[in-house]
Amino acid sequence: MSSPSLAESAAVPAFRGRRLFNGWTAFTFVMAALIALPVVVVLSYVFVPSGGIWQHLASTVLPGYITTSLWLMVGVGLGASVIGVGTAWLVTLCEFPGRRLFEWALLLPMAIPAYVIAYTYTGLLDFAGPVQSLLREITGWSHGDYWYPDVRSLPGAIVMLTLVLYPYVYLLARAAFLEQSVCVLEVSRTLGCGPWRCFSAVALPLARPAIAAGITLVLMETLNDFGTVQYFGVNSFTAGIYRTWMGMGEPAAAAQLAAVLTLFIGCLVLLERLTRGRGKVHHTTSKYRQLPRYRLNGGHALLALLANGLPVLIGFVIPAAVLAVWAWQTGPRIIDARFYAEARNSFILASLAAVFAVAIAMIMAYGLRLRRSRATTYATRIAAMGYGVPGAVIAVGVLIPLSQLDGWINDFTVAQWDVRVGLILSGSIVAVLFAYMVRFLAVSFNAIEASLAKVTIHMDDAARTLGHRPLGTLLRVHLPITKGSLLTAAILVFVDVMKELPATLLLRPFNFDTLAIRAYQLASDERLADAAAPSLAIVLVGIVPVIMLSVAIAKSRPGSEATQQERIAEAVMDKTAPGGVNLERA
Amino acid sequence: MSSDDVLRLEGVSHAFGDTRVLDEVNIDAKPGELLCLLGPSGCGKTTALRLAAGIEELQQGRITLSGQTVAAPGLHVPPERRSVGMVFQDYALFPHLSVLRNVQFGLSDLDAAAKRKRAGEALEQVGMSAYGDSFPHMLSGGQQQRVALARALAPQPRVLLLDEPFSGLDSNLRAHIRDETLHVVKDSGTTTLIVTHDPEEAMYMADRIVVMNAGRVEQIDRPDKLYTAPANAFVTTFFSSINRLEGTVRGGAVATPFGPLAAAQLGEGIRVEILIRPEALRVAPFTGVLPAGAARAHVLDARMLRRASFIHLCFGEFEGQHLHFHSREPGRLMPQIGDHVAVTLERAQTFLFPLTEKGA
Repeated sequence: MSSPSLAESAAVPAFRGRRLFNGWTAFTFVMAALIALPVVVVLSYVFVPSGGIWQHLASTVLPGYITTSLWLMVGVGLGASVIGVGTAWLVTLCEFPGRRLFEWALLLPMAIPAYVIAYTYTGLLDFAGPVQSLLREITGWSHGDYWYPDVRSLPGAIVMLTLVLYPYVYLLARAAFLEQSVCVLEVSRTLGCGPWRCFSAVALPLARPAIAAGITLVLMETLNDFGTVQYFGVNSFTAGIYRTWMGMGEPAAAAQLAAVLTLFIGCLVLLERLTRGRGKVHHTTSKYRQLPRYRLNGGHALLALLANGLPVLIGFVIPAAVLAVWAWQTGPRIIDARFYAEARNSFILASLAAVFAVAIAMIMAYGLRLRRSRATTYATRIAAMGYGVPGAVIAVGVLIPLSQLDGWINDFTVAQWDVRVGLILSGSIVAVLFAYMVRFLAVSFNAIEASLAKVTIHMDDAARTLGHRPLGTLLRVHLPITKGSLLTAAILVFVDVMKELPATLLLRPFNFDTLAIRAYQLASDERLADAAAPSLAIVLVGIVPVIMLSVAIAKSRPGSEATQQERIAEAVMDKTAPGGVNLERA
Repeated sequence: MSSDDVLRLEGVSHAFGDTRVLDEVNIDAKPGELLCLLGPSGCGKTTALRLAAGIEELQQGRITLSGQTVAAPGLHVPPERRSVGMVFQDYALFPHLSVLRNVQFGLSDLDAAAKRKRAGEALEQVGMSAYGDSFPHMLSGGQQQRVALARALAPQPRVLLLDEPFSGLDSNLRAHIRDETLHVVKDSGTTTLIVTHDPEEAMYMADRIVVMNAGRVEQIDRPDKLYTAPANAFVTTFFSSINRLEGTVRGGAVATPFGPLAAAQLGEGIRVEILIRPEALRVAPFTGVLPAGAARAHVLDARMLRRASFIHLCFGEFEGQHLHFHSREPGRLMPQIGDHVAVTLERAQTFLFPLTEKGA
């Protein structure tokens, strides 16, 4: 990357014309184009006739995909909102024993990827699993004598996804409740509103934009999920895309399914923006004021404990314990050289992705600061939009152009030197990393953009008048001041990549497996207990950002430094759409 | 404008979107001079400063520093190449660097020893030598302002630019810091531009003042000249509160309660406004006989304002205007409400301007 063309001496013109197009903004435009490429490719397949396959799909499975995906969205959306909003309300505005614990503990399920919790509960609750076996032992029943809910079903998938996704709604709702005008809540109390009325009539409507944003995020994650639905045999879009690509060998049809899914998501985002309306979450002053809390006693307190305790128990404690036990049992067998190789691969991919994501985001955010124009703003928004696009779609959108590129390269080398170089791009780490950038740049960009606000524009100007070029200013002023947030952003991308499944599955180089892939493969072979070791490793990594966030929440008082950290982490949650919720700017 | 001007803005115009912010502005600063850009909010003075610094891109006109063109349409020398020092309203000290490192920030051309020495000198100039290892958040507003000044002066810039550097300070501190800054800047001999909206501050500090209004330069002159010989009604009213009445030039003069004022140069039949500074009205008790050139008034109210009495006078109706004037009388004349007084006019502090459609 180059700094803008600058004069070597004062007399030499630095750049001509008023439309300045320096290296920083050029980089942003290039990145935006690259990130948009997979989505554009996928969407273009809406117009491509692919013979009878599309018609065949449309008449057979497409309606099924659509209804299934809709059911998933409705179920998970409802479940996550009820649990997320309810627990957020209880924890912020009521007082009961254990409240401080639950404030951060409610986040724990976020550490577990959906497919891991799916495998775990399947292993636990399936016919051959310990729960049913114990049941049969106790009662003497055998197969067919009793009814037991089947985990591996659409309702099961809904429950699994709800358990790990409600923390997103919890986090945003909690922040919204905290930020609400304390005066409004106090006034409603003096006017005789009890806890329930205060909640439904005052707090909830005010928090609606934040909750809507949280639900949108949950729905996008639901549509992105691949491991759970595929394992449970639930026919949603992502499972269909994978099956059409790998199983049927029809990339074009898979791309068309991906296109439909993308349009689906586009509508979702649009809907969320529309319902947001003019409602903005209003800032209170930065002075801290203790929120008046409703005291819950006796039976109410017990109910509150249950309401908060169950999600944590079912969403984290039980799965984590089960994983730990299984990992202990199967560890000696599973943790071998192959395991370490996969761990190393995961680590390498995640680290590379984190470094690239942070570097690219920093350059883009800084470039936006240097020259804010409508074009650059749009470009950065486009570059940061990839989060909403499911991994499977991105994988398809990456593979098609890269294969095409490989084809051209091979044609060239064959024509020139009669040498076939094979697949150098599409089968390589480049493809995977490209997909990761498309999907996760939003995470690092939002976090970094929020933290750059700590550096005032006057500081930029001061550094320039003191003789430093833009690059020097970035290195000597912006980086030192924001380095904490850069680390946070890197960790978030690292963890997201560790957990990622669909894109990795479709794009990874030959013989290059990650822990997530291994867990997936073992589970597919019905070796659920064996899948515990790689799954547990992923959960342990996933706990790190949850701990960071939990610590920030446990320490936070509005207006304090800890809340700054919390805000940065929440800026990461700001993935719903370009621009996001904008609850607050750090 | 002379050829040894350190900073020169020629025909500079600027617009933000559809809003015109500067209109054919010409400003020149001589070596060692302290120039104030003075005007109400939105008059374009900060924009002019930013253009001079190079942190805003020039759209129209020309800017030269020591004779070298640094900005013209199609040419833009970036701020890091211009050798200008700037102090911002919020000081913009780097929070992650100590005071010493902040001051050294602009000295990257020097070796470590020279850096230390020069930074030390700059800190001593502003009286902050003891705070080298402190961090900005530990300092008070006045201390931060001094560090910001030292940081801007350390690289010995050609021009020092200050953007309302005292507005962030408590008012009792302001006078003290202002005085210190004035002496630091004068001792360093650096050509300086200060942007302010406070006329008293400008008069206190500046060798010359550039009075600006709505993007135009109204008058550039020494403070005393601006006060005693303002070019138009805006400049007159900007420097003090004003007593105002209107009249028409008839027979080469305008009628006032104090007698006719010569106004032949303004043209016969022209509507004029007469602007009288409060200190131009001399109040004396009415003894029954009205001296020549005096007008009769009665006192509406009288207040003691530290060094002077502030008297509200009513002259009754004059040519269809109800005249309620203020007089600022040095000393302790405190007439009673309702007293009749004889008021004379000091011609030197009375100004006549043709009445324009848009008023003062």
